[in-house]
Amino acid sequence: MTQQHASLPFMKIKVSLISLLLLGLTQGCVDLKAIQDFANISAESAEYTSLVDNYLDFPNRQKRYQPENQHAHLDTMAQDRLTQKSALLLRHAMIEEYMEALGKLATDEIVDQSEELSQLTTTLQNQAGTKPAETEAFGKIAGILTKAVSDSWRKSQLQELIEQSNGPLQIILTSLKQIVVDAFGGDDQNEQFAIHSYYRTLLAQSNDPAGKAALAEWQELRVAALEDHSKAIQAYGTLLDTISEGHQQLYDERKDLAKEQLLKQMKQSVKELKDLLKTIKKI
Amino acid sequence: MALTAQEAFELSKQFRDFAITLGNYRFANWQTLSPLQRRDIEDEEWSLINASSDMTTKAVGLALEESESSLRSITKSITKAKQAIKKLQTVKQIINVAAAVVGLGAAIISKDPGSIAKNAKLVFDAAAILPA
Repeated sequence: MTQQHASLPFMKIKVSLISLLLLGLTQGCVDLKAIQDFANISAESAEYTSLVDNYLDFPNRQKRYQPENQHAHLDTMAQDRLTQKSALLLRHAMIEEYMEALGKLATDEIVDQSEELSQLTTTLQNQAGTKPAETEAFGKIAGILTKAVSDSWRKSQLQELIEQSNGPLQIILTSLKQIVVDAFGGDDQNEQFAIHSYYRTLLAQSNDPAGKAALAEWQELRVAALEDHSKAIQAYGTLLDTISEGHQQLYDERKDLAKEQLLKQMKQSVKELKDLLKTIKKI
Repeated sequence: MALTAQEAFELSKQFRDFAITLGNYRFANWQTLSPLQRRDIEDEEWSLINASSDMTTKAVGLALEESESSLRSITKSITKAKQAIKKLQTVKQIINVAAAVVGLGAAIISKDPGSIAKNAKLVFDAAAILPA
């Protein structure tokens, strides 16, 4: 009896300590869905490679406007650009693959073992000599502890991934943006020159009013298509900037990825990326 | 000194500007230029615009080279992240193996050969999906 009285305070302390530990661990489990969404939409954006195809096809499109004595030069240019295809697509693929890994690591399902533990609990409940209430309690505690430990480890891995990747990722994104805006955008300006030069020359040489009207219409059509393409280039440049800024924010707040302000910024980036991608795909 | 991607893009722009200037001159003086002169100027315009496009191709090549080492770094990070994902998935698989082992233990205690065989297979199946 005395022994029972003596052990009671110890029991209470033990229960309180366990409760505190569980509380601390469960509070560590955070919802990183905003980061997961940011990574997923960034991966989807990197999948878009139509602009690369357009860059490779540029010399062939130029043949429509340039005299035949320039065609051999344009063929060489097409060959030179073709050798860059795999390297250009690799940039897109790397960003996509990185973002997919980041997204998976930010997925809550990866640290949720409740289904597996429930199966284990059921198996244990069927054992002779085990009390169902005890087994159920074990299942619950095991679930909380396993998730908390995995979640904590997952967060440290996420932090490390973001920390190690931000530098090279920013360089790749900046380089890709430079290629998109200056190279693909530069091609558009050269194409604009070619369209104007070709149609203006034909119009200046022609004395047929009907033919002139038809030529002017064709010129208008070509210019309109090119303007749409230029809009897609600008939008994709902004999209790469948004991914870059979003990842920089993750890097800046990597020590507290559950910070409310960060998750809010991530949600805003996701919205912007979705809108930009929609615009680009429509064009 | 080696050319940078940025410098190559700047050169590309300058070639384009020359082509535009020549084109403007050709059309502004269309009436006073002979057909041969017009054709010669036009040829120069196309050569200049193609030089601009060639410089763009060169600039892209340089930009790709300049980001090559970053590409290698990010590849390492991706590999590490994939290993972390695999490890987290392994936790789930280990719990599945544990459940199968518990079932096998019960079958052994019950001394039922049929149940032992069935549960042994479950343990084997659960363990088979674990990474080596």
